Order: sequence, then C-alpha cells, then structure tokens
Amino acid sequence: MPPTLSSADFLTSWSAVLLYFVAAVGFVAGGLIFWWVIRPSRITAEKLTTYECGEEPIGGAWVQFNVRFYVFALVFLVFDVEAVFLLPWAVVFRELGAIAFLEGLFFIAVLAIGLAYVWRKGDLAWVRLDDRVSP
Amino acid sequence: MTASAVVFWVLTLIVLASAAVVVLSRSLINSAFALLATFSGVAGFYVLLGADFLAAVQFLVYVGGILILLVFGVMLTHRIQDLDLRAEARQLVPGLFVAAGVFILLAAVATRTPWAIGAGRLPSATTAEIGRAFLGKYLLPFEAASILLLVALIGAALIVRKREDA
Amino acid sequence: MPAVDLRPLLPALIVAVTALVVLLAQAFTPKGSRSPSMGLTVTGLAGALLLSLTMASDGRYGRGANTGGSVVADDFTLFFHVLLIGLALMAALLSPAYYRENGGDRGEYYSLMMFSLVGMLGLVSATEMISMFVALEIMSVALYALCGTRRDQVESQEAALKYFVTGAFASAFLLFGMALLYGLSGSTSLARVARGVATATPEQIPLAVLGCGLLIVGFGFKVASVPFHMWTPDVYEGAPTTVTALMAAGVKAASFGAFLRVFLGSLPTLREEWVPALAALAAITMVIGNLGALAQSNLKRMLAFSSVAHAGYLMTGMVGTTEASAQAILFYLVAYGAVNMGTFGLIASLSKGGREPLSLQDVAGLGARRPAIAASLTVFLISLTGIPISGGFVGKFYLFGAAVNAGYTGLAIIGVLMSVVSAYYYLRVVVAMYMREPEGEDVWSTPEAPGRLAALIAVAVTLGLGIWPAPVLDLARAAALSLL
Repeated sequence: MPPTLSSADFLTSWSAVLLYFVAAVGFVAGGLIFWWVIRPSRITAEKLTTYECGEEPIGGAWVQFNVRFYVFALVFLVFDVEAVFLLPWAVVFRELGAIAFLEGLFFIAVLAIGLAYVWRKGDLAWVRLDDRVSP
Repeated sequence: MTASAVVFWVLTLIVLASAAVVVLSRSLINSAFALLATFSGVAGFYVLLGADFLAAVQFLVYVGGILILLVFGVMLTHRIQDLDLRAEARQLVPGLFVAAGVFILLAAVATRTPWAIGAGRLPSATTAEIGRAFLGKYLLPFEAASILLLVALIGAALIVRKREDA
Repeated sequence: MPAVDLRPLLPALIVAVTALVVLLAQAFTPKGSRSPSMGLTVTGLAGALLLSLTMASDGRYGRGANTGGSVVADDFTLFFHVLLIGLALMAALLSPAYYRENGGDRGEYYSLMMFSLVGMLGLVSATEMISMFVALEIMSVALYALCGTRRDQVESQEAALKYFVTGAFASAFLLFGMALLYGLSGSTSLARVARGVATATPEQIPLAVLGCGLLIVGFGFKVASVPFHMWTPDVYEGAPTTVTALMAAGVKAASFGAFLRVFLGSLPTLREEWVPALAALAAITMVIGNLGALAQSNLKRMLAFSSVAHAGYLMTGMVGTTEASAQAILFYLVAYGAVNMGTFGLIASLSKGGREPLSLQDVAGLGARRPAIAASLTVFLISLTGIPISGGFVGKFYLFGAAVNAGYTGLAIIGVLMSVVSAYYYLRVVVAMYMREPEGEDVWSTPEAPGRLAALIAVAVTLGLGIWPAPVLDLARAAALSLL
C-alpha cells in the first residue's frame, strides 16, 4: 500500500537529500558501468594479480585482521548509540531548563564511568604488554 | 501515482532485492555489502513515514556502526575466503509455509485493524519532539538506557578481552 | 515540573550505585592487591534489602508510590524486590569460593550480577512497556556476559552465545507484541493498554490477540517454557554454576513477575483468548521438561530440564487468572528460588580445581562423607519433587488448586502425574547419596562460611515454607491483590 503523507512539503524538503543520494550512487555506478561498456576486455594471468604499485604481490589480499579492531568497533558502537540518545537531548535541553541539562549529564556520567573502566583495564591500548612478550 | 508512491515502490524494490542477496549470496562479504542497501532502503522508508530522526539513526547506527562491525567480523575470521557459506535449504517447503503464514497473518491484521492514530499533523521535524519525550514522559527509560549501554560495554570488553592472570 | 516521587526506584538505585562502585574499585585497584568486591557487594545488597523491607512495612516509606507512571512500588513489586535481592545476596555469598576454584574474573562478575539484578527489579516494578523492555534488556545483557565469564571453558562461551542469540529473539518478539498493543491503545502505559484492550472494537480484537501471542512467545523464552526452551540445558550447563543459580531462581522469578503484571494485571479482558493457549503450553512444558530430565545424567542439565518443568507448573497456576493463582505463583517462586539457589549453590561450593560434582558417581556416598550437605541436598530435592513438609509441596498444592478452580482439572492431573515421574530423577540422586558406596577419594572442597550461610538460609526457607507457610502466603496474597 503506498503511503499517504499529510504534508507534501515534507517530501519536497527531502527531495534534495534524495537527489544527492541518487547523484552519489549514480556517479560511482555510472562510471563503473560506462568504462565496463567501452573498455576492451583481454584478460591475462598477469592482469588478474593484485595491484601493489608495481611490486610483486606476496600472498592474497585477504589477510586476517588484528582482533583488536573488533574491540574498538564494539566500543565505538556503544558510544555511537549514546550519541543517538544525546542528539534529541541536545536539541531541547535549553528550553527545558537546568534540570533537563543535569539529566543529560547524568546519562553521560554513567557512560564516562564505562569509558574509565575500559581505559583502566587496558582495552583501549593498541599494544599491550602481553602482546609484546608473546610471539 | 504520486511522487511518494514512486519513491515507496523503488525503495521496496531495493530493500527486497538486496535482502535476497543477503540471504542467498555464497560470499559473506557480498552479503554484508548487500545489507548496506537494505539498511539504507529502510532508512528511506522512515523518511517517507515522516520519522526523520529515526532515518538518521538508521544511518548512524546500522549503516555506520553495525555494518562496520559485521565487516570487521568477516575480516577477523581466519581463512574466510575458503568457506562456502550457503545456508542449506533444509526443510524448504515447511519453512516457506511458515513464512507465508506469518506474512498473511501480519498483513491481514495490519491492513484490517483500525489503528489508534494520534490526531493532528505530522511534526515537520521529530528530533525535538523525541527530546521532549526523553526528558519528560520517558525520562526513566532514557536514563536506564545509559545503564544498558554501560552493561553492554562491560560485557563486550569482558568477552573480547584475553584472559588475565589476576 | 511536578515533583517526582523517586522512592520506588531507591532499591534499584542502591544496587546500581554499588555496581558502579565495585566496577571502579576493581578497575582502579593496583595490580597485586585485590579489591574488596564481595564485601562491597554484600553491603550494598544488604542495604537494598533492608530498604525494601522498610518500604514494605509501612505506607509512609513509599509503599504504593509510583514514579511518573513508569514504576510502581506496590505490594507486588516489594514482594519481588525482597525475593530477588535476597536471591542475589545468596548468589554473592556463594561466588568467592566458586570463582577461586574455577578461575574467571571477579570484579566485573559482581558488578554485572548487580546490574542484572537492577534489570530484574525494574522488570517487576515497571508499569509502562518501554521501561519494562529496557529493564528486561539490562537484565539479559548482563547475563549474556556473565554466562561467558569462565573464558577458559568452551562450554561457557557456547552458553553465552546461545543465550545471547535466543535471548535476542525473545526480546524481538516481546518488542513486537508491545508495539502492536501500543498501536491498539496509543499508549505504552500498561493501564492505558488495559483500557484500550477492554474497549477494543471487534475489528481490533485480532490485533490484540496477535500482540498477546507475541508477548507469550517472548515471555515463554524468558521463563524457559516448551517450545521455547531449547537453549536452557546448554546455557544452564555451560554458565558458571553461581550464574546458573541466579538464572534459574532470579530470572525465572522476575520474568514471571512481568508476565503476571502484563497478563493478569493488564490483559484480563482477553483471558478467553490467552488462557487456552497458556494451558496448552503448560501441559507440553510439564511433559517435555520432566521427560527430558529423566534422560539426563549431568546434574546441571537435569536441573535445567527441571527448570523447564517448573515453568510448566507455574503456568498451570496462571490459567486461573484470579488472585488465588497469582498468590500461588508468588509463593511457589519463593520456594523454587530458595531451592534452586541452594542446589546449584551446593554444587558450586563443592567444586574444586575446576571440577564440580555433576554425575551420580560424583555424589555417591555423600551421605556418609558429608552428612550435612547430603541432608541439605535431600531437602531441596524433596521440595523440587513436591513431597510434604517442604515448600515445594505447599506451592504445588496451591498451583494445582488454582488450575482446578479454573476448570482445568486435566491440567492439574498432568501436573500431579508429572510430579510423580519427577520423583524418579530427583530421588535417584538421594538414593545415590545414601545407598551407594563412595567411589574413590573424596576430592571435593569443604564449603566455606559464606556458602554454608547461603545453604542454611535456603534450607530454612524451604522447610519453613513447608511447615509454616501462612506468613508468606499472606504476603503473597496481599501482593496478588495489589496487582489485580
């Protein structure tokens, strides 16, 4: 069922975003498709190797990432969601007064404790002592 | 057809097609990238429904966060390119029946029910409204969410961390 | 801005602040010295328990108060607060010895345990669906991590992953159900939902029923009822035993608290629809839980299936939908909580060097070697079976009575029959303890003073409820009345 919108101006205000999105996707996709159509395609084994600025590639491009990336991604995600919660608060706390401001600070304080905890536990250190000792 | 209907059907096409790639693709990395289109399409739905803040959240958290985590998860896995990740289509027919049944049930209920729809116009920007709800009626769950995030942070750090000798 | 009554939040707030203090104390303790996690935990929990008891004693201290329509401190809430904090206190007493013998990190452990308790306290006191959901998630996320705290064990990791995946499913179902009820009533407040459902037009009834069904699936996962019980054996087995104790006793109680508040408190007008569904689930849960337990040789797995079976008994009580059924469930949750905390607690206290007494060979001859422990375990197993002079007997009597009064005599008969079946696997353990010769050396630890205290409390509660149930029955009745 197509949606019905009460205000048409709402959609027009978003049409710029849509246009931007279409242009961004179209720029990349259009380029790729255009060159795919007009370029000659003569595949040799040499051409299929990974391009490393002229060097002979060693091994595949698929290497196993350091597991530490994952810790950072997880911590990032938690604070990403925190940002989502704080955005609406930041928009309105001025009009709602000092108590609303303190309520937001409480929210931040709880997560600051979490940050202090992961920092003290060394979860945010890229190189940890045990990594240097073990091979 | 109105402009919003065109947008709706285009988004539907994007979401369904990319979701099919997510499920059917053999390569995990292709699935992950197809999920990008699915998440973005859903964000488009939110815009169409007038939930602009939710659309931003969808981009910020799902496209910018969860998807990155997913791709990291793929990259971290040892010898990922050797794996054949097809989901086996065991019990395909019963599965299809269950899925179709759930779909019909939900669709029938959703289309036939007179929903309790609030009165008045859509707010032109929902962020401030959500902020007022966070600091007013839903203050308690808002503050409790900080505890939830803290617990998630501790739990994640604890599970990923190497064993300590303490 | 009107003044907000924060008193209903105080117990949970004390627990949350203690959890933060324990977390920071542990993180900022220099290497080499140990932070006083367990002392802080017990102090904080005892304070919260004392406060809850004070609040329950008199209206002046916040009984009946509510915070902005989100959280209420009625008799129902306070009954659960005392029970849940008490259970967490026992789990905290059992933990230090267990973690010393089995490894694992301690500071985060106490902190996460208290955070999960905060979630449980919120879950039973929330009268608004978003608060309820956030509380449920706090409880669950903390437990997912707790399941994996024995990181040297693959089973522990497996338990964390399985519990997380199935728990996420359960949360999704619950949230979907809540969303549908919100769509029906236009409000997240349970009172408004109740009004919306009561005044629903015939076209709106399918929506209400679908919402109800999704909520039953979600709660069914959390209380481990068939067919949503698949995770239970693996999670109970793999999780550290003290965490299993908290899950079996605390999570079940808190989930049933919310289950009761939503269904008996807010959706009684739909009882024609959900009671038959619940009765059917209760029947298959009792049968499959008990038959599953028969086949187990591992004590923790056996108790996991027994936990499934008990979800069935408790749901049998729920089909009555009267205050008598709520009273029976509340009473049984106390009896069941004490027994589970005691049983898992004794298994944990006996563990040594990463091994626990989990098979019948392990407990053979315990009656001769460790008379006090064997006697305590016998009391717990008798209560689980439902034999007189134990709390389990009185509880089952009231549960099945509630079902009979509601016209579900068949369900009560299934319950009694399945209790007879359960006698086989529970009493098999007792027989092994007393009738069989001990095998090999006595390799188990001697429970330390805090663990002995927790076990003693569990025995006292179990026997007390069996011999003199009246006081707790009265409290449960008052709590049930405040709900309906």
